[in-house]
Amino acid sequence: MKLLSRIEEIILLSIWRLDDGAYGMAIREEVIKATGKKWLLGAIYGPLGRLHKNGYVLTFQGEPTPERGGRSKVYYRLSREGIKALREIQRVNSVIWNGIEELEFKEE
Amino acid sequence: MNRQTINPPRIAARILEFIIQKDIRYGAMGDLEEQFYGMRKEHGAFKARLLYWKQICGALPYFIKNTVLWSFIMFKNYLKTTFRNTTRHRGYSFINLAGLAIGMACTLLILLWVKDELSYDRFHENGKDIYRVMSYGTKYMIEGVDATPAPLAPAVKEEVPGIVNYARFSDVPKLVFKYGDKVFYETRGLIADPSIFEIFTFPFVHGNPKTALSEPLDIVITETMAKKYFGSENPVGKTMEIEGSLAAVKGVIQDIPHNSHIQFDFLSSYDFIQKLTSYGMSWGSFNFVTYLLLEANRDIQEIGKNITAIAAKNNCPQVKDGVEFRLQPLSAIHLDNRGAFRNYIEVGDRKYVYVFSIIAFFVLFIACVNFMNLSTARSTTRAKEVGMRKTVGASRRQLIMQFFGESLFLTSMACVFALILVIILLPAFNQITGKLLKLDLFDIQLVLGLIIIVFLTALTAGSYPAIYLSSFKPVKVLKGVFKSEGKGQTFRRVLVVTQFSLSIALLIGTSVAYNQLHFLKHSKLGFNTENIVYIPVKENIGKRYDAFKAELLNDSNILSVAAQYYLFAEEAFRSTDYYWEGKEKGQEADIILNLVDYDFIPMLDLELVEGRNFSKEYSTDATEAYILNEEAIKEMSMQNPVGKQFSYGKRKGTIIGVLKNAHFRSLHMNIEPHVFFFLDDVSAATQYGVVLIKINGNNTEEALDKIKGVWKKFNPLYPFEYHFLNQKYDSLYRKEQKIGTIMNAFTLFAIIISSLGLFGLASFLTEQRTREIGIRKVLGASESSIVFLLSKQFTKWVLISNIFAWPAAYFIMNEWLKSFAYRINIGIWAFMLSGMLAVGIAFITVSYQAFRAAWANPADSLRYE
Repeated sequence: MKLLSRIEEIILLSIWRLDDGAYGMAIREEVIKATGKKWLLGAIYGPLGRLHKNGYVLTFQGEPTPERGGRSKVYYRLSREGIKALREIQRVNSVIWNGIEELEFKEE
Repeated sequence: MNRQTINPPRIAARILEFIIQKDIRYGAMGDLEEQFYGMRKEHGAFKARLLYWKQICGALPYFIKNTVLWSFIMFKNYLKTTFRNTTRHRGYSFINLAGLAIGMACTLLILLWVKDELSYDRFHENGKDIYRVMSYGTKYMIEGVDATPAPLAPAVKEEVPGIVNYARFSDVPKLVFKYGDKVFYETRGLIADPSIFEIFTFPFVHGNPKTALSEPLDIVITETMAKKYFGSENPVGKTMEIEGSLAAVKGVIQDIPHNSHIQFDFLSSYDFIQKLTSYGMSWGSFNFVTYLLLEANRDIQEIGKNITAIAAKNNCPQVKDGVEFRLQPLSAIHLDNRGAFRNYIEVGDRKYVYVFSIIAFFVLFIACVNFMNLSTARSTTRAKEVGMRKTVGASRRQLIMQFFGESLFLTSMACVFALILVIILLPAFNQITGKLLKLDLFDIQLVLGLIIIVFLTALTAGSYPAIYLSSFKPVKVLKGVFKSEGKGQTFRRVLVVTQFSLSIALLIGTSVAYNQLHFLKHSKLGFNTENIVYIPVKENIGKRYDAFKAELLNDSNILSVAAQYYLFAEEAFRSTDYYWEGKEKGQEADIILNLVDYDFIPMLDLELVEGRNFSKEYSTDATEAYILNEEAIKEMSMQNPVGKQFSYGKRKGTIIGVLKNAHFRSLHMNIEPHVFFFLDDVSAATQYGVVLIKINGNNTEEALDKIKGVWKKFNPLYPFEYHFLNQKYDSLYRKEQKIGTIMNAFTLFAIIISSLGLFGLASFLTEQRTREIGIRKVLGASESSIVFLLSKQFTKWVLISNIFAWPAAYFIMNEWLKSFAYRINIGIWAFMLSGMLAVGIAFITVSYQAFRAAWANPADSLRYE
């Protein structure tokens, strides 16, 4: 299985955290919170679309709301594959971070 | 509250909607809109909009990579595939290309022609409010004629509301014009009210349109005619001599556009008519064509009724007999052939516009059928490709687009060839149709038409193959058990039958048309037209007729000389002003009258069924004798006519002879009643009169030289001009002849394209059966049996086509023949011959392939694999 990229990992985790409220805008807020940087919606949707295409996330529609021009919110949820991919990246992360306590620049 | 007024920028939303990838579009668009409203609340509308626009930049790279780039790559691949397929199977590509190119060339030519026919009279500024008055219910022109009496127009302008202006037209006989030393015959003349320039748009180059025709002898000429007589001088104010009387040139107009139904070189004032003797000006003489300019949006039917009512009030005898007037819009006049006999009216025929459009469509359709047939028949060669594409993920839609694209590509190529063909064929086409068509590629209408033709052709030709080819199941195809059987084959048979039905129908049509034309040209008119030359009665001929005649007859090559008031092939003077013995009250006879001299009847070999010819022995013949034809006698329901009293107007007399019916006029018309009386004073006939001269057919040259010599001696001024009578009669069917030539060409094209298609189909199917043929030969089949086997199926289809073609052709040609009063019966042999010809052509086409297959060495065909 191909490893997730960093942004994919962050998005998938955001979706997991948001649980039932994971739609585009909310995911963006979550990503901004986690990274502390401004993310354009488009920047979120690029990877999100890819994740969807690869089957890591599932979508379902909510109620239409007026501030969306009558469109429904599209909610995202992790699929079985998505969970598996996250576990994998978690494993990789724990392996490579293992034993690293203090990360400082050493001056010679 | 503001929500309704400030929305996301609509253009940006459209663009985004287009470029955002499809699977996230819905959610993302909603999110963006939500974000927009959020931003607006916090940072104001401007920032919100800016952010919204910025989203496009974000989405663009993805769009470019996934949509544009990939479609470009695939497009390159499609192009490559198309190119390879076209070049690998050169024969088939050629058949397709040639067929489509010829078909499209035909369509284009007809398109140009139809466009020109429909462009008539659109240049008049008042065009949509100009109408022509038509009379319906006249005895011999029951379907309407454009003739109206002279006093009608002024009366209706006074009394009928809604009529702004009127102009009356009448044609002018051939006249001799003289200016300085330049003397010419002018045939394209017109007499009209001066108001012609207020109604129609004929721009002046010199002179004032308001005063140009104010004096009786004023004339207006076209630029071309001005150049002919005056060179670079300004003709306005100059005086020309017309047959001895003087006329002042008061204006020069631009040459009349070729697409005007009104055509003339010179125009005289209506007052000029007063000077001419032969024009009846009463309510009973329908000698003029009336054009009316109406106020906009008038009810023309009501105006027509009012006009009829006014004519009735003024005791117009024809209206009392049931004639009524109706209005015809200007735009309809050119394609209405009812004014065909007037020399200033340029007519087309609506019927032929339809017929040619349909035929061109047929030819193109036949070419499309070739494409369909060959693509589906050769589907096996493309099946693997379809299978592969599907396996690697091509959708059916993509495949359909691919194959459709291929047909579009081929059609566009064919279009280029078609344009070249049109450029090559246009001069010949112009010559046949007598038009000045040009292929103008900067003409928006034409280019648009061309694009539509290309797309429709590509759609017709390519849609079925695209659907059929894209339906293949990859599993079946790639396993190698695929065969193009079943549905495709039936469809192809239907197409071949359709194709050949059309071709055979065209063949039958052409042969029937040819026979009718042959019939017209060679049918017995009932009199002799061979070796008769006619010359106009001009200058001194009328005054010194007897001397002229005697001088001509001195020569042994000149057999007889006769004068006639006018030529039947050109004119018909009608009247109802007759009285006869036994005429009942209310009885009317519309009889064509003409004046001739002693030698007319013998020269034309006209047969007298009763009585005698005019004779010098009876001194009263010159003033009292009448000769009528059988039809006139029938019209008057007279018994034993010879010796009975008859009079025309005030000329009282007796009937001295009855002529057998003869076709003096076009065979489009029934034989009409005629009356002849003696032309005593030939000088009265200078307008339309002719001298008929019968010459020795073996010494035509000498005879013509003699006539010319005598003419010169009598007429120092006027140029010599002669025509042959039989050619004049032939020219009455010139339109039909043109149509026949075009029909021939189209039929030829249709047959060529059909045969090409059949050739392609046959060669492919034979190729497929190579091994079968090899095995048959090994097992002992003879060559002839194999040829028979292979040719049988195609020939059968073509035979079946006859079943559809015959009734259709019979029906259509029967309708066409109804436009002739004298016509052939459609014989079965025209059908047999056309059918056999088609079968023959099909057989030859197919058997070439069959022979090749049958004579091939079976070892060659069985060895491969």
